[in-house]
Amino acid sequence: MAEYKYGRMKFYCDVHRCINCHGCEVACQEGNELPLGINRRRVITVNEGVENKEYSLSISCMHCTDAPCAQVCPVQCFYIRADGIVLHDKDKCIGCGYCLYACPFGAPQFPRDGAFGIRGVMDKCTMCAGGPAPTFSDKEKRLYGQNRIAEGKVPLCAAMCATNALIVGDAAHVSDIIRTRKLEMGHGVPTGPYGWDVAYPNK
Amino acid sequence: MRKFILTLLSLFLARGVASAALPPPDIIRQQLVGSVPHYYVWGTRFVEFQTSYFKIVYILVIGALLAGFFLHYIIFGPKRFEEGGKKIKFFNVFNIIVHWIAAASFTLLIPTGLIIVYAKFFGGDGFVRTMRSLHDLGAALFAIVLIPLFAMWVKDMFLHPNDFKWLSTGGGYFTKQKIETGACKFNPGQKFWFWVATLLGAFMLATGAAMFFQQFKQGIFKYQIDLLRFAAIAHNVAAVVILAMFLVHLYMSLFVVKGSLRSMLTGYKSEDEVKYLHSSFYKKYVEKQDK
Repeated sequence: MAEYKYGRMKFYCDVHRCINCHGCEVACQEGNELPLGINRRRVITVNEGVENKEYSLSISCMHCTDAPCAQVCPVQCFYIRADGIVLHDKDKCIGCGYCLYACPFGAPQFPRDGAFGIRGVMDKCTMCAGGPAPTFSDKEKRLYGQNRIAEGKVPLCAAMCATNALIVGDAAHVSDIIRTRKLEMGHGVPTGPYGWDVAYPNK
Repeated sequence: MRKFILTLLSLFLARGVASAALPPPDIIRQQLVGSVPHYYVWGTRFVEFQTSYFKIVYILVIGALLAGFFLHYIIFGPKRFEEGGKKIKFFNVFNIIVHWIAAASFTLLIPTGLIIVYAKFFGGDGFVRTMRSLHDLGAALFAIVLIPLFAMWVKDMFLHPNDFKWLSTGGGYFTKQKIETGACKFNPGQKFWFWVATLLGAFMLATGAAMFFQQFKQGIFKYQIDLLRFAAIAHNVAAVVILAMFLVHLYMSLFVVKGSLRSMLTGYKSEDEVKYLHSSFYKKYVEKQDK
């Protein structure tokens, strides 16, 4: 039996297209019903205020290769799916915060929990792939948010991105899209509105 | 004056409750632009320490110490002293209370800390999460007792010329005979343990508090996350020293020097014990009695 070759799921944010609208942040927060103050996805602006050098991009858990969070976790509650999505088990997590210290992107966050408002278990982007709880169960929805990957849909943030700056999918496809965009940049751009010359043939 | 202090205290508490109820200012997010390329300074360092050293070092230290204690007990055995004789007052009631609160905080902190380090072995979930809360509770207890503990004994804890005699005889613990060790009220081993418990303890408290609160204004590191990474490394490194000294302290007081547990409960040591183990103190004590 031939071995099935899985894709490698990746996020890519095209900084030439991102318009700093924070739509991905809001979509993720509302769609996954996250607690107050938790942003799985964040839009940041680099070189803010510097002319011609300013650009924005959206970052969250990048689902790293050899994810450092998974390496440092004392409970080893992380697991990496065959398609590269890094997920964690909230039932095992003890909220120690080590994954946050290991993460280059500040992705792990800790909602306050219980009567004394102590730090609860970690919450991070799941690439809308749910968690270890049974797929489509209420528990999965409550703890990890929607499982859109299992439904065959694109994660919420990328699905709503108005300029298609944020794209997600198999690494090969993502790089194809980016390559096409780079090659076509500045080519085939129409010089007038569509249908203008039909309506006003005499100019 | 009392009213003023009470008002201040209640204001402080109210502020604490209010700040705990509000979602914290997301400092890490605000600093994300700079801290992502800065990852290779402290981030990789933390990952390296956590993945390759901490778990091994703790088990090695505990194993080596337990083996050492076992061998020492078999070869040299415990120190027994005549209980019948005169009793010499060593600790007052304040000393005893402060010591046992500190002892309670350490017995809470050290096992729970180890359970957090070896969380996978204990399965994570609610048990380890409760232990993490107890770890915070122990830290609060230690924070209360740290200053009295430091203040009440610090004057006896500086190195004294007599201490070199104690060091040269190995404290009298590496022989079966009872020998006069030349120690004052506290021997150099106790002095070292005192400085480890208070100064390193305060450092543990500071780094632990940093990791507990996570989001607060600080001016030591350029990025908040780097402070947290440093705190996690430093907390673990300092914990190795504290763990080792705590185990030594337990072994000495429970197994080697018979009657030391009673002296910490009643405040009195037997004359025979003081004569040998704290001989400089004993000489001064006898001179005082003669006058």
